[in-house]
Amino acid sequence: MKKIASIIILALLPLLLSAQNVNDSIRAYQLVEQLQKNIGKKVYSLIPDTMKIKNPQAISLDQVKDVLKNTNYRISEYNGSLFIMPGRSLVTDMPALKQHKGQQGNGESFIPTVIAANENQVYEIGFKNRPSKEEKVAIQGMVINFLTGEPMEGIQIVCHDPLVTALTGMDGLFHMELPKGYRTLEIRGMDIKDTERKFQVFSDGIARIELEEDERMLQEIVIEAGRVQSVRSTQIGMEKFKPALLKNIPAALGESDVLKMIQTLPGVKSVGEASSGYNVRGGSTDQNLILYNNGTVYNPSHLFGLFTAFNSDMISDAELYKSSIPAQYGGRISSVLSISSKEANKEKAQGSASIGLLTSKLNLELPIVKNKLSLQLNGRTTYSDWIMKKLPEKSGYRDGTAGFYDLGGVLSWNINQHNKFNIYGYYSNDHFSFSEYEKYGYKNMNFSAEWKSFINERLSSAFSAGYDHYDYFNDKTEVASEAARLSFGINQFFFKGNFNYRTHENNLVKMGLNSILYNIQAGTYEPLGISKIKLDKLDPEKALETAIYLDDEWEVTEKLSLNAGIRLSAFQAMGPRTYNKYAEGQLPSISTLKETVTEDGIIKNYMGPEFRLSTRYTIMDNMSLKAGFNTMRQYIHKVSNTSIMSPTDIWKLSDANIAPQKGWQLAAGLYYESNDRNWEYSLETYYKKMSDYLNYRNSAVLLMNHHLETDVISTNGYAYGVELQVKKSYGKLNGWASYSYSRTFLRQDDPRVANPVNGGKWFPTEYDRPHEFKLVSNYKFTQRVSLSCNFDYSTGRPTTIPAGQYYDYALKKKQPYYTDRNSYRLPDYMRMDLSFNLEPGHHLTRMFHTSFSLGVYNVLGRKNAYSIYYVEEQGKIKGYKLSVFGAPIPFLTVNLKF
Amino acid sequence: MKKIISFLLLAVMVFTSCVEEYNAELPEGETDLLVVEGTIISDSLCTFHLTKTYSLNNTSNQIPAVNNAFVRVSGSDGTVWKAIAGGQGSYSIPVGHLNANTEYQLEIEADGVTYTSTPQRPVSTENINLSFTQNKPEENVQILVSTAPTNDAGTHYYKMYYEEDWEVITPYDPTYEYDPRTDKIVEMDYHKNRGWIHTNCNSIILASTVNFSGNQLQEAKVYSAPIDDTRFTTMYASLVKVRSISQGEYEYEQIRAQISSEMGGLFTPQPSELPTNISSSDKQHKAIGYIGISSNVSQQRMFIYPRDVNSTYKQICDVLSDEDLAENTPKELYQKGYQIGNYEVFPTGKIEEWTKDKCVDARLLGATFYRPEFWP
Repeated sequence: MKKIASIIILALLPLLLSAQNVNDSIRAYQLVEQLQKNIGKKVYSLIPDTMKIKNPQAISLDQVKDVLKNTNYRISEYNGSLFIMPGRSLVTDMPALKQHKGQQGNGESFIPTVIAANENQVYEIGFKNRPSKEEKVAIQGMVINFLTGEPMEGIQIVCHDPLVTALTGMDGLFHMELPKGYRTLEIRGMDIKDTERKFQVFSDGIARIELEEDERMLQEIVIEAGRVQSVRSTQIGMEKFKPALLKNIPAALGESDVLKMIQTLPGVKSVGEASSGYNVRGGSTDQNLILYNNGTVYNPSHLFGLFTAFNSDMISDAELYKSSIPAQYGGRISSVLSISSKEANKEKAQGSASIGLLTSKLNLELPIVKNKLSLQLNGRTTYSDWIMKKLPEKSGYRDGTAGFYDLGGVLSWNINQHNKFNIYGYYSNDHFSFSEYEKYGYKNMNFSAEWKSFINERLSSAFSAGYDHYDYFNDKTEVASEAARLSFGINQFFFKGNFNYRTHENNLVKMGLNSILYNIQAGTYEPLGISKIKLDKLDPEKALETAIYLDDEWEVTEKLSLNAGIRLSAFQAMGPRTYNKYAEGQLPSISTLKETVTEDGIIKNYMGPEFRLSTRYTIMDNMSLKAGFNTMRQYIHKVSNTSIMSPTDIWKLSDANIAPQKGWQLAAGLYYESNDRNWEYSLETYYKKMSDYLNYRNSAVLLMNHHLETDVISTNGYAYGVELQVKKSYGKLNGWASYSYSRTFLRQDDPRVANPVNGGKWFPTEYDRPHEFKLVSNYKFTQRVSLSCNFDYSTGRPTTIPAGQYYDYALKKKQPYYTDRNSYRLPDYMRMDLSFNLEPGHHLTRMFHTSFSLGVYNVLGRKNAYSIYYVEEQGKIKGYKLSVFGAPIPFLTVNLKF
Repeated sequence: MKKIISFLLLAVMVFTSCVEEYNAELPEGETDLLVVEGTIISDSLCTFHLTKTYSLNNTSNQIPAVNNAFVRVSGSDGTVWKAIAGGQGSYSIPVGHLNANTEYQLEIEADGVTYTSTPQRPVSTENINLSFTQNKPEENVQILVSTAPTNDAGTHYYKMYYEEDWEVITPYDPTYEYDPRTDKIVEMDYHKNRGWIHTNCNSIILASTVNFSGNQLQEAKVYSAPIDDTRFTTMYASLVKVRSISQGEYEYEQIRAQISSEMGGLFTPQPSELPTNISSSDKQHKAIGYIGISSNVSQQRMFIYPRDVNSTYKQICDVLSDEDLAENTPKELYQKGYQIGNYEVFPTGKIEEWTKDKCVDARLLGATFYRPEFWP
């Protein structure tokens, strides 16, 4: 409706012009103004720029109808407004009042529904003739996308007088209690312009608010959404964002990357550029749960981390929880990143495609049954062998070939207004080789179905079930007699049932059950061709991880909110499996081996509660104080001795000899927004402890190890930090800046370990970067022209350097040697990226809309160190620095919209 | 309706990663550690090198040897073999027969501190058998080793070492040569077109039976011999020595190999401390090294003939034209890297052919005239 109202009349209507006297002509906007004045109604018109009419000052509605009757223009009336449109009448038979949920009769059970689509209209809620006797009435609301009919999640509804706020849930539903009378509700959120709806509230009722997306607002809206979350919600350390934001963020190789995007947030670090995986508040890379449509993604990267596995065209939104992790999530002790797929437009077919030097993408949105059933399909592939030639020789990949593709699909079915069913599919495949004789490959697969149901205004549910798969192989065939394939695979089936029950206006209870059935092919080493290698197969690892949770969001007073959750997780390692038993109280080793047993059924049980507590106290309307505490358990571990996620990582379940990782985090934050709501400031601090973190001894055999526990050293860790962030939501300059001071340490303090790392003392992790400053900014010169700038500074990460040198007689050269781990720091990291963005024009009638992003990644050309290492050359131990992106990398992105 | 087609263009894409020298001043680490190199092998003269570690900032080429140490091998049965100092930190011990059921250790007294290696039983090595293969004519020759079957069920670990010898024969075998000292062409009383090249392994080669069926090495790769040089032009000999080692020594050598060559890559694990089996009596002084104890070392030499493999080595040995000879004196030709390939004097004249020196003198290809004793 707003779109119609905003249309400017452009063309002429020759038929009308030819019948009229020139002196009686009137401009279109004058006609509209005069007609509105004369009949007292709002008029929206698409009639031509000029028309001839007698006595235009006294124009009436009948007069206009008479003039238009022989043309293809039709006049429609809707909600007290007139719409003059070519070719058709506006459909105005959409019931303003209807029965809710099929309830019959005229009694109290009848709840009227109003559809609020226009910000200039005053809508009536409830029975005008039978107003409620109560001072406050209950409003059940649903926010939907006007174009697609999809419910919109995360929309903030604010009534300022009195101050009542609500946030739409996953079904677009919200609930609020308002005093009777005239109320204006402010509506803010991602993808929409700030808007409002006016209501005259008489009694209980249902409001269906229809909104329209506006992509041009994305940059600001993301920040806005963050503000609403941070000041009003009880969540600490939660970020929600849209990947469309990426278009204005300069990226290496010009490819939008959701995982790189989250690394611009405070508290999220990575070991280095072009490395897959990220570290959240001192946690390791395997302590982050990455969910894609509820399915787990174990390897979220393509091409060794240069690209994320997620095509940005297929992502609807992503949520990162780095502190207060909702009780519905579990299984990792550091963070949860939940990514949701886009659904196709259910009204009209549309799509997008891109062709680049590195990748090509295709995205199709296909409505199958209008407004009911749609299919979203997307795919991406690369032809990136040439990039391998550009990698540093030291990287080991220079002579390799590499390629990947990924496919995604979403079948979305709106069964009715209260039920929705989606089927998601995702498949990605990577292959690369160092030479003809050494090949790697891995793939991710996720298939799931989800049924969301709005049972009634208090209760909603979501059920999902699916299958996740990850596998990996490595072929080595250079020596025919030793040719072999190493393979590994994870298969897991999951079920999740979540219920939201609003017991009271100020109390929302969430509860549910999550279950994962793991079946891990822990490793197979098999001969290829005429190989003399023996077939070796590790016992499959089966386990059932189940959790039930209960979470309560309670707005105790207007100022105080509490969120308390408990998650009871249980893990059963199941047989049949052969495993070792070791002497009581001794470290697992061959010398302490007591017996090897084969068992069926449940071979080990782990169970424990996880607590999630958070609270928010509103000091002022625009300032709140929060605190939170959560405990987490993790039953699956990455088996790797590198600090980043590598393409050869495998995963291992807890079992009789490997305990689950455990962690807890205490966090607090202060949030403030300026009176003009343009600036938001936040300060968060945290302290985190980790135990039973898996670290591996030197020379550990990680692959095809039948008793990995003998190579594992249980390690404890702790992390703490302070994160300061400033966000600017509006205006020509917008963006955010953050500074964080954080530390993270590990210690192998088990007295049974003979030679613990660094003598059993605390040592910094490889991602311990104390000082970090990040800036993401966008300056809009005009509505179309903007300049984006990223700046990233951090202390260099710890690394291990030689303690000295010695002469090796056997090798006839000097050799470095090492003692303490991570005792030195790489040089500080600093990078600035710039991009100049030209947005499309506002000519809606134009077929094509073009936008450009011209940018430079690492504009300072700084050779940031990825690693330093020491080798003997020409009789001397020489140090070398490896930089992944050692120079400015220009890129140009061209978008065509039509 | 809104449709988007986006074209990602990476204009002027310059992917400029780099490796450059890093000369930062490093903090002084823990130095002055005792470094012990050597292996106790039954019935052999075992040499041990004792040195000290020193600062990275010390660029001197002088090796800090430990010269005044007392070194001996002792067994749990009371056997002791003492070392004879050879200077520059070198100590030789004539080790007698090692009993398979006795534990032996190396003992060192240096600077008032006693260091001992972990007592171990000697590890015996099975007989080995060598073979070779070449996957494709353009690929290097792989030298493979197999070990004899064993009844021992545990994984066997090996450290390997090899020596290469090959014969080179240049295309020309002249009887005259230019003598730069006299600036004359003189008759030769020797042949310089035939020689032998010898090289030693300078890397750490490890193997284990963990992946092989039958718990024995079966055509495990020892090394690849390049085919684009003179190796396989005449006759090639490969001597491979294999010594069984303990798992501890295997892990020590793995880390030593990593430190030696595999550093700094994107997915390379961080370097780590060498897991020594040498400890000091006061637990304060650290040492580097891993003393392995072996009953024997298995070795085998294998000859490879040119007919057995494809060599891609090509030597261009064109003779100089008459014009070149006319324009240059013999001295000038010699200085430009040419030598006489053929020279014959007849009553009516002479034949004088000059060609590249490497086509004439095998020494210029890296060979010596020393013919190995084992050469057939």
